[in-house]
Amino acid sequence: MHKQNQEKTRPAREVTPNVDIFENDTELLVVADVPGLDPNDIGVHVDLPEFRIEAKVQGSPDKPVVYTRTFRIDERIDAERVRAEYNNGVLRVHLAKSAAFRPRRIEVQSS
Amino acid sequence: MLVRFNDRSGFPVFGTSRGLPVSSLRRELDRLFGDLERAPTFAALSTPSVSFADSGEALTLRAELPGLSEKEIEISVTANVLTVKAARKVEAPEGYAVHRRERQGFSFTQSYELPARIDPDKVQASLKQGVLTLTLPKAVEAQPKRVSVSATA
Repeated sequence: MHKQNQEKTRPAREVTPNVDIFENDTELLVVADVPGLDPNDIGVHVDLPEFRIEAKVQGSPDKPVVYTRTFRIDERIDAERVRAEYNNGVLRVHLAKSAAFRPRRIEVQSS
Repeated sequence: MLVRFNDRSGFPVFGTSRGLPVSSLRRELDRLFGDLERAPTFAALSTPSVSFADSGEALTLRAELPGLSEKEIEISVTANVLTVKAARKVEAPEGYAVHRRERQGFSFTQSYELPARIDPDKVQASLKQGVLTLTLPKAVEAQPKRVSVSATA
């Protein structure tokens, strides 16, 4: 949003990567197709209320490619416990849920 | 959580204030604007992005095939035709609910008639972080030759 008024002088090709989003009891899993990156050039930023993936392909023979994708998250995600892995050009980001928002099983006791 | 997605696809989790009409209107608007904010993505991966380059001595092909391992790519060459075959399936991990699926599987077979004869024995292929790079050295007779101009007095 705030980026739209910015002048685009960078000669890079900007790509919005396709993502899959999954969820289980303990985390959200964001999977993105971002081929051709050096793992060091991948930025996963958690800056509430934003979660942003930003990466630049270095040394490509064509125009450099910049991948960006931004999501909104809230305090139900534990910003300290976000981890990411990159394999075969696919980025997987695990966003752990804050303890208070994880489902808990309550034992029913008979008296 | 990802606010944009608490729309009518109905997350089982965190489903709280669903009752009020105002909140459902707001949800609907959030969903609509959420979709507008997204930059359009062109032709998802049903056909991977492929580019060719000619360096004079060799042709190179670069194809983006994220999520594939070496075994899932098949390449065959003759002196003037290159065939690339690749397929991927995109499956939801077990035990997860699905919120959004944009990544697509594909099954891709493409033959390219090459603009120059190549030496099939010298073709090299490498796959690095989802990018396939093929180097196809040209056959000797197709290599560029430097012609020197001789000055005659």
